[in-house]
Amino acid sequence: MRRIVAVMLLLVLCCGLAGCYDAKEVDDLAYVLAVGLDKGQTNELKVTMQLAVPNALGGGGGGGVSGGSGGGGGKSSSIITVEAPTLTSSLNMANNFLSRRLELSHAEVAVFSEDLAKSGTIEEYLRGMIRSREFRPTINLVVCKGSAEEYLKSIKPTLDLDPAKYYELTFSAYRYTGLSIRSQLEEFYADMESSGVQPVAVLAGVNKSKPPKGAQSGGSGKGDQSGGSGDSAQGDQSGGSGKESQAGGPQQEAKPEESTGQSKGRPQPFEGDYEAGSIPRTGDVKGEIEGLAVFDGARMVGEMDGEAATDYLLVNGDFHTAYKTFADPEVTGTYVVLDVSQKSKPVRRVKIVDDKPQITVQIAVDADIQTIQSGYNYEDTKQLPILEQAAETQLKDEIVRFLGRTTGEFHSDICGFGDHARGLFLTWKDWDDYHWLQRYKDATFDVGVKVRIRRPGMILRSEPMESSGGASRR
Amino acid sequence: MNLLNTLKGLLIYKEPEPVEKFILRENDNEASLSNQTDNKQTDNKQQDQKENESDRGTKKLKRQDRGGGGEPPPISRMLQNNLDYIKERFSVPTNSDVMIREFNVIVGKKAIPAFMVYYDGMVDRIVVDTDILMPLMLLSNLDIKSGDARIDVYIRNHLLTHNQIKEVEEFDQVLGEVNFGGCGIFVDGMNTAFAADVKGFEHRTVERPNTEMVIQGPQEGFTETIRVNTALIRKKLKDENLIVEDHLVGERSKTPCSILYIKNLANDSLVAEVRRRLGSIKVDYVQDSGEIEQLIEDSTYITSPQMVSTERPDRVAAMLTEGRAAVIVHGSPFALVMPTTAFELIHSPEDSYLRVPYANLLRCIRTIAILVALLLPGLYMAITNFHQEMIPTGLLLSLEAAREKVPFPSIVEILIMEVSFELIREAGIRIPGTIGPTLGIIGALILGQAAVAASIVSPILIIIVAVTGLGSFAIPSYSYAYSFRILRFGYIVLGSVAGFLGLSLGIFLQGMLLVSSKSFGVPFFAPFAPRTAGLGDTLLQDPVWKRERRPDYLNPKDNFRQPKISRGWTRQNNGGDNRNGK
Repeated sequence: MRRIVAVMLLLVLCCGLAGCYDAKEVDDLAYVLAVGLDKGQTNELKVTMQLAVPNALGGGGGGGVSGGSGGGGGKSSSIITVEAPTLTSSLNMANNFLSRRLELSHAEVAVFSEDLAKSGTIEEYLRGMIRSREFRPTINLVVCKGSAEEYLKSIKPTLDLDPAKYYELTFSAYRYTGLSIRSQLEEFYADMESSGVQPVAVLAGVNKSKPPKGAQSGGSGKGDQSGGSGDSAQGDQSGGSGKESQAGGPQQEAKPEESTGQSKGRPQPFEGDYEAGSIPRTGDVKGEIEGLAVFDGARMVGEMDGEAATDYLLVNGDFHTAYKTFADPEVTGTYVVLDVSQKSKPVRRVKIVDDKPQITVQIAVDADIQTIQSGYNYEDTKQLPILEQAAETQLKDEIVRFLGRTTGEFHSDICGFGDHARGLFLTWKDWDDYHWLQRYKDATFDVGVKVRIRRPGMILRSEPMESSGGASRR
Repeated sequence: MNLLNTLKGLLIYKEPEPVEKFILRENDNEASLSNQTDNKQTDNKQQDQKENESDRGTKKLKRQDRGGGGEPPPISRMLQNNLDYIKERFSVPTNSDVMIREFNVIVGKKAIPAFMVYYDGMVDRIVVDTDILMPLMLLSNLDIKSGDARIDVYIRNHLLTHNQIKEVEEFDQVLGEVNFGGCGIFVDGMNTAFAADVKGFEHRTVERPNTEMVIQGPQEGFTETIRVNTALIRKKLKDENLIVEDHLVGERSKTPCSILYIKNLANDSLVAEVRRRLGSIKVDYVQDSGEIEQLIEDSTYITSPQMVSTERPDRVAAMLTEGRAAVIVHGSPFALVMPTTAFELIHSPEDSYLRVPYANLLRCIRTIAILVALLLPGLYMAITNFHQEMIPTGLLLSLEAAREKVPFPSIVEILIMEVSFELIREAGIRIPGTIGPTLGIIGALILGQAAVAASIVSPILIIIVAVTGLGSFAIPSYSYAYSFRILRFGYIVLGSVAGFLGLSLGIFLQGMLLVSSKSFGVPFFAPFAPRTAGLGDTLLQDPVWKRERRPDYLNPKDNFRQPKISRGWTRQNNGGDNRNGK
C-alpha cells in the first residue's frame, strides 16, 4: 500500500512539476515555413514569414490567415512581414495580429537578403537562432540576391501543395544537380566561429527573365526564345534552347541573361554558368537557387555560380552525382554529357612552404556516358582515354579557377583547408599566431583530377547517322 | 349512475389493498440485534412472522452444522440407520433429484437388504442398470465358486462387475462420490459402503478452441470435464511420469482440481509450491480456473497475468515437457500453466508448428502490436501536444487541418474515441449470437464516420484508435491483451500531461514493476533480467533442431531436451542413427 502511494505521489509530482503547462494543441499554432530577413525601413530588420495555411493543405476550405503587409501568398501559405529590432521580437509583434502562436520548429529556410549579408550583421541574428530552441539546427541558410521578402513571395509552388515540401526538395536537390550546396545553420555557425573554415550559404534569387508576351504563339515553353533573339551578339543564349531561337520573337522586353560562361571563354554557357536569379527560364515559381554565397566570417564577400558549387562539393567530398556537360574534344561545337559521381573522398594535403600554404587536392571521379551529341565512338576502349583526358582537363581547369577565386578574389577558405593545416602546428598558440584565414590568400594549389568512365549507358557503340547526303558530320 | 361511479372510482383516492410483501431478512442470530431496532416501527404481526422465519433459519443452520462441520457418524451395520442418515443428509424428500433405490442382494441363500443412492441425471443409467443393479439382484443367483465368507469381500470380488468401485468407511467419502455423479451402495450388515463411479452427466464434447485459434496445428480444445481434459493431455504426452495429482477446492463446491507435472522433469519445489498454494485455499465456491488463477497468483495488482491460461492440450503438453506445472479445474475449459514470463505470453501455440521464418515474422509483428496497443495513443498525445517538431511538416499540416474544426482538446477527443471503442468491444461480446461481430463492424464504421462528420473527432484519431485496437487483438494471450488495454489509458494521460517525460516515466515505472514481479518464483523478465542461459525461445524462435535447452529459469531436473545434433542425417558417418544421442 505504501508503495502504491509512493508511486502515485511520484506520478502526481512529476506531472505537477513538469506537467502540461506547455502543452500546445497542434491547431493552436501557426507554423512558419520560411523566414526572410531584410534591412528594415523603420527598424533594424524587416522579418518576412511564410506561414502554412493548413486548411488549404488538408483539403478543407480555402480561406487563408490574413497576412500583414505581405498579404496572402498563395493558397497554401500566407506571408506576413514585421519590422522589428530583432528576430525574436518580431515573433512577439506578429502575434499581435495573428490568432495563433508562431511556431518556428518547422521552418525549413532562413533567407537573408544580400544587403544584410554583405553588411555582416547576420552574425547577430545567427547567434539568436542557434541559441533558441525554436529553430532547427538543420534549417537551410540562404542568401538572396535582392530582397528576401520578394523571394519568399515568389515561392508559390504548383507541383507541391505544401511550400515546406518545396523547400525540402529544392534544398536537397544539390545531391543530383551539383549546382547548389548544402548550408545548414549548425554548420554555418560552426564555420563562422572556426579559425580554419569560412562559411558558405546557398545563393537564391528571384528570376528576372520575363515571360515573353508572345509566348502563347511560341508555345515551346522555353522561356528565353524571345529574349535570346536580340542578344545573340552577347553570345549567351541559354543552353540548348538558344540555338533554335534565332528566328526571334516580336518582344524585346527580357533583359539579357547574365551568365558567367563568357568569362570562362565558352561560346555558350553551360548549365553551371548561371547564378540564381539569372537562369533563362519561365515557370510559375519565380524564386530559384543556384550557386553559393561566399562569406568571410559573418560578412558576405561574394557570390559564385553553379559550376563553382559543383567544384566546392567536389573539393569537399560532398558531391553525390549529377549530369555535367563537357565540350566534345574531337568535334567542336558539340557536347558530351557525363553522369558524374565522386568515387572517393578527395585527398587533401596542406604544406607550408616559405610561410605560404601549398595545397594539394586529388579528386577521383567516376562517370557514365549520358550523351555524345556528335556520335563519335568514344565507347571504344582506344578512344575512351581521349574523352577521359578532356573531362579531366576541363574539371581541373574549373577547380583551379574556383580555388583561385577563393584566394585571389574572396580571401576566404570556404573549403576548409585550414582544418588540414592545423595538424602542422604543435600548439594551439602556434596555430592562432599563424592566422590561417589571413594567410589563405597566398595559398597555391596543386589540383589533380582523375576521371574514369565506367559505363557507356544503353548504347555500346556510336555509329554515324546515315542519310541521303552520305554519312553524317564527322 | 354507473358511469358516474366508474368516473368517481378513477378520480377519487382509494386506499390500496394490502399486498403481502416479501423482505429478505438476515437469518443469523447476531443480525437480530440490528433487526430489533427496526422492529420498533413495525407492527406485532410482522414481528411474529419474522420470529417464525428466524426460528426456521436457526433450525436449518443447526442441521447444516451437524451435516457439514460436525463429526459424521460411522457407517452403521444397521441398514436402516444408514438410510436415515443418508435421507437426512440429502434432504429427502425435499431434494427431488436424489434417487434412493432399495433392493435385495442375494448372497448364497440369503437375501440381504441394500440400497443405493445417486443423483438422477448425474449417472449413466445404463451402467447403473447393467453393471450394478443387475449383478447384485440377478446374477448373484449364479453358482459362484468361491470360499469368500464375508459379505463385503464377496460382493466386491464377485458381484459388482463395474470397473470403478471403492469400498469406503465414511459417509463423507460416499457423499463426495455421489455429489460428483457416482452412486453409493449400502448393504445391510456391512460397516462399509461401496462408491461406484458411474458418471454420466451431460457435457460438451471436444471442440475447437475458441480463444486460441491456429491455422496450422491441432484443433482440439479442452472441455469442462476434468477427466476428458487430463485424457487429452495424456493422449499427447504418453509418459507414465506425467503425474495428475487431485485436489478438492471449495468447501461447498468441492471442485476437483488436478496438478499436472512430469515427475522426473519439473522442479520439485515448484510442484510443492503449487500444491501448497492450491491446498491452502479456503473458499466456499470455485467455478472456473480464472478464480483459481486469482487465488494462487503472486500479485493481484500487477496488470499482466502471471500464468498462462490456455484452452489447448497441445500447449499444456508442450509446456509440461519444459518442466512446468499445470492446474486443471473441473468445469473450466482453461488450464493454467505456471510459471511464465513476460515473453512467453506473446507466444502463440502456432509458433512451434510454423517454419522458423514465418514464426519469427509473426513474433515481430506481435511485438509491434504490443508496442502499438500500449503506446500509440499516448505517443500521439505526447507528440501532438508537446513535440510538434517531431512530425514531418506535411503530416503536421494535415493533422492541423483535420483538427481545425474539432472543438475539444485532443485529450478529450482521444478519450471519447477510446471509450467508445471499448464500448463497441464490450457490446460486441454481450450481444447474443451472430449480431455481435456485425455490431462491432457497423458500430466502428458508422460511429467513426459520423464522429468525423460531426467534427467531434479528427479522422487521424480514428486511425490511431483503430490501429491500437487491432494491435490489442493481435496479442495472443487474451488476459495479456487486457493488461495493455488498461495501461494504455495510463499512457494517454501521462502523454497528454507531460509529453515524452510522462511516457518515459510510465515506461520506467512499468519496467520496474515487471522486473520486480515474479511468477511462481521465476522473475517475470527472465531470461533477460536476470539474464539466464539460452535465449532460444523468447522474442524470436530458434529452429526446432536448435532447441537443446529447456528454459533455464525453470530449473528443470534435466536441462537438455535433445542432443546437440538432433538431426542425425546431417552426420553421415553414423548412418542417420540418432537413437543413442551423440
